[in-house]
Amino acid sequence: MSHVQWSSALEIDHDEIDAQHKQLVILADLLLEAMEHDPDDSVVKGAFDALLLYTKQHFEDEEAYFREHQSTLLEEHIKEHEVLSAEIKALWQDDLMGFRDEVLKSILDWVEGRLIPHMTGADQDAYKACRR
Amino acid sequence: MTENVVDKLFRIMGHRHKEADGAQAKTANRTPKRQTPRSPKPTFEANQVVFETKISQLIAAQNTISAGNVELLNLQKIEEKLGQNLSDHKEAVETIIQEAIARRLSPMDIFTNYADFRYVIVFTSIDKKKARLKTALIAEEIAQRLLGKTDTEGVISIKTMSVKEDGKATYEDIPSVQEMVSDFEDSDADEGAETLSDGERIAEGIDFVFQPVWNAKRDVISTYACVPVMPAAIGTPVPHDPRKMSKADHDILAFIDIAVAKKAIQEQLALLEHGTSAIISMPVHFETLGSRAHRHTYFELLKDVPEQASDRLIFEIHGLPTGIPDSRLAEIIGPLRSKSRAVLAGFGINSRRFDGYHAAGLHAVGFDLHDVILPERKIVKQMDAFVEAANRQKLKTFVHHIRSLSLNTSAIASGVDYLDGSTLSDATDTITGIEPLTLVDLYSRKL
Repeated sequence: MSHVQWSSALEIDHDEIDAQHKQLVILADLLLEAMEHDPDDSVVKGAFDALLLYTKQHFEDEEAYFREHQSTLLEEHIKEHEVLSAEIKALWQDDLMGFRDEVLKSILDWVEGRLIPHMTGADQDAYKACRR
Repeated sequence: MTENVVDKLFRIMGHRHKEADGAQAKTANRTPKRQTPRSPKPTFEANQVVFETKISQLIAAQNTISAGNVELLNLQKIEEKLGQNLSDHKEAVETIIQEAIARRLSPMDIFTNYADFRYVIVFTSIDKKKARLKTALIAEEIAQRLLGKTDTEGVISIKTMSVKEDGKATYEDIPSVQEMVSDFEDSDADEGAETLSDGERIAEGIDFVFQPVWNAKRDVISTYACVPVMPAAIGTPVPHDPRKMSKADHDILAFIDIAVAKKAIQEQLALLEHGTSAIISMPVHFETLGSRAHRHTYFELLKDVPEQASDRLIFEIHGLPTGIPDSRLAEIIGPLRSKSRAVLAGFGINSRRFDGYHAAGLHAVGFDLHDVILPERKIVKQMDAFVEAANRQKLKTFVHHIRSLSLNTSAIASGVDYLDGSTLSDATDTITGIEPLTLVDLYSRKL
């Protein structure tokens, strides 16, 4: 059973951004699944690397889009991305360092409590604030 | 092991970021970090007042005073002699001074610069006479390295700080290094052969190395085991691992555990200050945790460790008896767990019963191959069974002192999570943070 699933409720009605958001949710779910079934498997490391890199790429793409379309919330959005990037990087590093029992819960909390609300809140707002 | 003013100094100066005057405490055996110059430069009198106030506050808060092993080193004249040359090389000069001090201190000692070119050194484990001699030797080395001469007269002033019963500090000048050496030799001859207690002998000789630990499931070295070492005998600096000492003397074990914990905490605080990510693990004996007095001293030490640092500390319990009741287990592990990232426990290679350990808060169990004299095929078989038993209880596993590449590979095949040993990486003085390391890397060294 999936931990997190993509649904139309998460869409902001922009094809490219929605496609990337969907990919992020799939990668997060893949990581959570791998962690639940075998936290030591090399799949976990690969899935975590992929989530970290894709998150970075997605944030860059999103910022480029909001910049090009003159979103009035761009600066605020970039700052929020910086915070989220630091959080996921800290989780990634924490898993890498080992000696931690609760990594799965921390990641699930981050996806449900930080990433998804960002998609449905700040991303939606920044998209609506585009001037062209 | 009475807690004295030195421990108070350690606590206050060790957490110097809380202090407003910018004084920086250093621990021995670590290259000091670049310091931020203070401006405007305080006057000598002002510094003396600030320093005396600080010491008086310490004393007021502490009834037991260990006077006579606090030494003040004033290098103001060197500052004057270097004159204009100093401005371009101040950082290098300070590094030379701090290295000269750190080199002669035991890991239990501390020092701090309470103003530019003025240092206070606190010797925790030697008497006044030796503390003064060591300070004189430090002064001699500084004069030699910075001015090219060993005569410290008129260049470096050294004072021994003593504390009266009313809490006021007094200062006693100490003579030149030559006089100190001569006095020391004379008094030593008068007193005959020196008798040191076991604790004093350990305090004099104990040092620490950091053994890199490989997280095999993530292909990184992210953890460093703080290993206390002592010379096996005079003149033969072969590291002896006191974790293997006889359990006969609980006081000595507790002394070592406390020394290790102090070192590990100091090192972790320094790492955080440098922005270096690494976990430090430290051994602690069940005997220390089981004794009310030692346990109290041990947890007093951990009490003030900031959460950011404790999240990067790991305890490895040695000598946990098998069949210990769950409630007792929780009583031992719980408080350690709350002050650390994880708690591990070491057992014999043939241990198989780990029921209740995970529920009590243990993250991993493991064993040390150092004393295991078995053919490799038998070790591998035992390792397989150990890992299987641990994993059944949701515990991760570690193995110390992996001594061959084949054992290394076997450990990975068995599913061991954390490994250390000479085939992986040599022990080090300096923790460098997270480093990638794969099994391929290990074999590629042989190519």
